[in-house]
Amino acid sequence: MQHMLLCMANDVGTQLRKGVVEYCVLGLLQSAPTYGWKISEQLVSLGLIGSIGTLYPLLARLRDQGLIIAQADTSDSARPRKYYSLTPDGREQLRQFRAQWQPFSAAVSTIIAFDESRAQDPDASATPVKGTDQ
Amino acid sequence: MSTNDSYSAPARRYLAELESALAGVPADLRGEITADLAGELHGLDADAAAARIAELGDPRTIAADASAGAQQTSAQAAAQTTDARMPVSKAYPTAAAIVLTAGWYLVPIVGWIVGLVMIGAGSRWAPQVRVASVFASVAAALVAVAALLVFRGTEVWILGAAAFAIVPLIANVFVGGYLRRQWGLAAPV
Repeated sequence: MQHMLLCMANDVGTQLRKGVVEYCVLGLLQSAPTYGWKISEQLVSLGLIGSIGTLYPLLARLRDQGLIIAQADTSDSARPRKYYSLTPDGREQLRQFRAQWQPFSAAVSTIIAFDESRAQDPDASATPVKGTDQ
Repeated sequence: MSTNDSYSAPARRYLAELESALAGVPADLRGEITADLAGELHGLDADAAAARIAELGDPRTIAADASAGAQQTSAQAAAQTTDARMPVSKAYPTAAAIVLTAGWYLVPIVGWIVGLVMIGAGSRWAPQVRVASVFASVAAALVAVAALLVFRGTEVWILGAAAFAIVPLIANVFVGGYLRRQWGLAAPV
């Protein structure tokens, strides 16, 4: 049972990350063009992706959607890097997400907030529905 | 990778393991990952490369995550293709067109109003399509009623009666056809 709950918790985390991690990449690119390792380092440290392997398919999707572009930077000849930056569509997409995220997260937080009065009275949430067998 | 001399022994070993682990990943993705990570390890001495490798993590984990991500991309592309190919049912706009047109005659006033309500409730029409259709149908009804009233009691009263019978029919047939063509062109509300 405990294992099942743990699996469910992991699954919830995975599903949540899937929905927002692409916007987090757009957010990381909003101030300056950045290269793959730097993006991955920040996302991994924040627990938003498991490894840099997750990042590249995600970057490819964003590129295919025209939200980011990749440009090779050869100024450091010892370590030529590919820098990713936002397109105007990417900025607009990020703006829309930002506008919706705050009210969305506030609404969810309000609904799932820990209610002490209910927690102390477990029977209150376990009231059987009329006409159903227990 | 320019020359092997640019890579320390740990870096070369790591890149070889990565290349092998990524064998099942689509070629373009595999090329992008290996090129980028090779760039990260390029020119680092053994200690620095080992530290960076520790941060990058196990090549098998990277490959598994890349593979899962590529599958997600394929699934999304397939879902979009399916959505694009899925024909939108014309049942609702057809029913609305019939109710709008036949309702005028079968259940006078009420049947036609039901047709107007159906237009207003159709989520797959753009708002301007709904407004234009309702406006056209109402305008035709007003013309028909006006013709009936204007010619009433005159010698050409038959013209008023004919306009009352035919104008809504013609207008609503055109509106119905327009509604059927416009159905599904706007995103559902």
